[in-house]
Amino acid sequence: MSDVPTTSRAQRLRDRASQGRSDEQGSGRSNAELLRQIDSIAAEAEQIRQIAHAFERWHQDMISLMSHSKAMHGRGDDLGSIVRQLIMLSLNAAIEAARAGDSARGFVVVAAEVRNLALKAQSLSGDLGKNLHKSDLLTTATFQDIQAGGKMMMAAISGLDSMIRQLRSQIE
Amino acid sequence: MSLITEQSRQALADAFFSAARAGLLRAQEDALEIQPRTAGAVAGAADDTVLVITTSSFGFRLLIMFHVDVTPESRTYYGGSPDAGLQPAFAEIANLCCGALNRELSRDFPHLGMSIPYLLNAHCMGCLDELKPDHVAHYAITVNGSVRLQATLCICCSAPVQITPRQHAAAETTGELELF
Repeated sequence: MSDVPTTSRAQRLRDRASQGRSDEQGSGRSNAELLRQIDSIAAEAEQIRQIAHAFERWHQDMISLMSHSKAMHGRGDDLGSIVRQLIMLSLNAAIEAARAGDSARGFVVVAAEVRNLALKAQSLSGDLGKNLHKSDLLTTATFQDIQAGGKMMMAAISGLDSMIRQLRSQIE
Repeated sequence: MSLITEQSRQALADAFFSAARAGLLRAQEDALEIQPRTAGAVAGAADDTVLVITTSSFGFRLLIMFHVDVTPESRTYYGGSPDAGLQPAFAEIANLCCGALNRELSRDFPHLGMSIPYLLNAHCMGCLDELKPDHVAHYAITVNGSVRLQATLCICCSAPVQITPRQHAAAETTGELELF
């Protein structure tokens, strides 16, 4: 048995009880504050989640871009076809001019120049096609990167949501 | 200096082999052969296509490109009949394969996202250098000896990328998978 006077012991118990009540009140206050902060973080996470609308907008833009590119490929193919016909025509013109003899000597020169121009146009048409493919790849890679990055962020926000729920349930 | 080490390149290849087994086969017992190639898919016809899916993390983006030789065998294997359309069915298959690759990579990169598949003209393969990749690997893939595909992995890094080698890769890819 302790030799501590009974009065002192009772006083200490009263002090402890008083401290406990004070701690509980303090703890209640800090928990309420924590919950408020968690609610604030959850609201921010919900706001960030709205970025999904931006992704949808970018997706629509990408579809428009690729549709535009497809139309450009069509125009490029048409141009290539015209240039090929032009080369054939200039070749035929050169042959006909050669057949006509001296009287068409000037036309031989013109036909040769037209052929040179057609060959240059063919080269440009080929470059245009290659550049369109390059543009398609760069556009698609950029868009897919944005799209994948968006999904990565959405997954991260979901992870954050899960952590917020766990934290809230622990405090409550 | 490259942002992806030789060891990480090999680890990426191992992860892709494992993902190919998980995603490109219709049945587990089917035979899969993967052979590295020096060049990517080359467009045969003017409208030849490649299917592209991108996996991204903070430090890199990885483009995975597939080209399937359109034959009655490949139509039957992926589409269900010799006359079936190949593209929609194979887009799902490629999605599964890339999803499996994502899971493999998520061991090193917890934050990863994957795009939806997109079709490009196969001529685009000739422009890969425009993306300034840190590493490009091409593979010829054969399923059951008759279905032929080509795959290209093109990784562009914006920070050092460290992929941990799969310790059990060899054990898991035994059986029908043959690597050359």
